[in-house]
Amino acid sequence: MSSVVECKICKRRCRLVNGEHGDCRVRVNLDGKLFSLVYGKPCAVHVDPIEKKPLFHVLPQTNAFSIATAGCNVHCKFCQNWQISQRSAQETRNYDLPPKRVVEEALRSSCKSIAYTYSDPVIFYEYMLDTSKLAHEKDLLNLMITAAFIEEEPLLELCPHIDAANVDLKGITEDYYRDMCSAELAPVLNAIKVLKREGVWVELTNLVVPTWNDSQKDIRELCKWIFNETGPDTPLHFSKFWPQHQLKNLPPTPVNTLNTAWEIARKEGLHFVYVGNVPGHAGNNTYCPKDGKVLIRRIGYNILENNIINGQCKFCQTPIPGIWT
Amino acid sequence: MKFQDNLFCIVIFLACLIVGGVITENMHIALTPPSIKKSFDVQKIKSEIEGAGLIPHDALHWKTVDH
Repeated sequence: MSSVVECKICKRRCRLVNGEHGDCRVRVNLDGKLFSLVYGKPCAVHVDPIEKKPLFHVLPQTNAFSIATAGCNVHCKFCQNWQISQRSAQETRNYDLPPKRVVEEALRSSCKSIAYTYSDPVIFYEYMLDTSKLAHEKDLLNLMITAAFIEEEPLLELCPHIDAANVDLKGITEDYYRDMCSAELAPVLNAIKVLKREGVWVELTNLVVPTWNDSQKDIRELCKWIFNETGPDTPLHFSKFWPQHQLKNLPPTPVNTLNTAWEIARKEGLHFVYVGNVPGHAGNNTYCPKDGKVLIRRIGYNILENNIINGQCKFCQTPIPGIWT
Repeated sequence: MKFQDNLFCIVIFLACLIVGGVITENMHIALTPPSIKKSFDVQKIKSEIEGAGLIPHDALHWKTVDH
């Protein structure tokens, strides 16, 4: 009888008998060994503005070569990429794009970075790891866009090869993570702290979902955690929810709710707070934490004005954290 | 013994057999590791993977579990 294997990538620690797939749908036990089915097989390949990730403090106005495979180890009711994240690789149309070719295509497309994104790169860990090493050889940055539901050991192995991460901090309670995402909060909080400690540039995104995580109490608690555990310079993006997947019954997030969240975050001392999916909102811009002047004025993903020179505010020379070159 | 006494003994005996069988089966279920209870047609799984154009690649960060 073939052995049972236990996957140690995430807290689920799926125990799989011969022929069984993990919860993420893309890792499988075959004859007592664990395999990834999505190595070199992305089902989504695009060139995106880096601001779309969203990463506002990394190489502004450049393009990121963005890839994703099928599968995911969380199951959010609001997922906008559910057509690939809640599918197995056998159900999606996949490209053949080994790590070396990802880098070649990124360079050919004049991208300055490679983004591992859309579904969740935790589940295509090996593909991301190998590609990121080759990317660095060609001076491309590696961007991880993730729910960060990952164990510490694999994350520590990955960190030296990742330059920046946008982490979905979906909520601040275990109940929310369980009921909305079938996941757990504690490993995500730990992963954020590990990323910061290992020198990865981190930006956080919170999707504000009406009636679920939009209370002022929840938002305040989320901001307090970010301030206390990661510092005031960690950018926080509040994102507007649009009805999707299993939550088509809910309305989109009201702009007033996002305004309130933006105000709370700034009152809690966070220096860089953004409002996403609301073009023209003042929260699209980056402001100097010292003199309040507009550093980067944006509309959508486009930059209209950039007053950051050599990583500093042009007006008062305050250092602005980020990866600017 | 009267017929009714014999019948009673038979009914009690059968009841004990049934209850004993239920207890035995439940103990077997409780003591058997969950993973062992599942089984998959591995050749079929491999064919589906190959048919989808996928190539299994060695995964990292896993271990064998004794059962």
